[in-house]
Amino acid sequence: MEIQQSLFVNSLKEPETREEAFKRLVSEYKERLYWHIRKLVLDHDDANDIVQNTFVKIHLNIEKFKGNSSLYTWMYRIATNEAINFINSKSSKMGLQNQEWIEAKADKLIADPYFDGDEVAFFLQKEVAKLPEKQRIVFNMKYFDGMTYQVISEILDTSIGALKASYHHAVKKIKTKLND
Amino acid sequence: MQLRKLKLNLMTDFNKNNPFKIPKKYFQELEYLLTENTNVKNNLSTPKDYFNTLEEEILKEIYPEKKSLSNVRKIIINITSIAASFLILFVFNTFKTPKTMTEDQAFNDYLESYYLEDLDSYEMLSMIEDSEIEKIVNTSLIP
Repeated sequence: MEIQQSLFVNSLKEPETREEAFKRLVSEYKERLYWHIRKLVLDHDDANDIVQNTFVKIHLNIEKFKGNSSLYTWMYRIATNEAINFINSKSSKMGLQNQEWIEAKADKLIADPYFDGDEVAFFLQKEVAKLPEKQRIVFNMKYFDGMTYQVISEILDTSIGALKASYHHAVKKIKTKLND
Repeated sequence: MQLRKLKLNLMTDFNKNNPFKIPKKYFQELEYLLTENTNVKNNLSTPKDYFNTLEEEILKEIYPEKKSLSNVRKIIINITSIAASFLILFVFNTFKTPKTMTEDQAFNDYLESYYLEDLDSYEMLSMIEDSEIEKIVNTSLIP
């Protein structure tokens, strides 16, 4: 697997094979990265912009990929950073805190044609949006994406213990709200 | 001893003789199902055929139709160079100062050429002054 990955990364770095390899990369990861981003920003158009920027960043920075982590986690890290940067820039332009901006997005979900959840699903999204940023990201990756703590730890560069604590706090807050 | 050998064989050949099979395209479908499940759980959806166009858009952004662009560039360069050469020709032909020749000059030229044609070398020398001849000889002698 590691050999396969390093061969693939080499083909991404070589000018002659780069384009073809990159097409394969986009084809393989576009959906996974899109959904990861979409869950963080909620809106389809925003997610579309961010996923495109993410692939552009991956393309521009592939030379810097040293292979210390898997290509998959490296790309997820870029996608996560791009999503956070996007939220930072959008919210600061509107004079809002990140959390306020995402809460506003969650409030609009009920009218979003690309959200087909019932009242409970809508309520859950609204409560997730109220979580502090780090807890919200961890909750999305663990609950919605079903990622292991090990993988989340590699992507977010955070210890497994800290992640478990974040997730625990997030679940507790949401449960309390659901019971109210 | 034989049992140990059998155990070893079983372990090394396990991958080759794996008795378990999976349905065709299982892993592709599994990935699809996993993605589907998480999306259902999340209640988020995308426009129809979004992922088909997404790939195209990303690649367009990264590789913006280099080939056709370079062809267009080549055509533009060719047209520009042809236009430039026509312009240079036009400018030279338009602004080139025409050789104006007065009637007197024309007549003198005509006369001179007439004389030179008919005169032999001695007669020509007789028409030139001595000082001029000296001057010509001296300059031709200087290496």
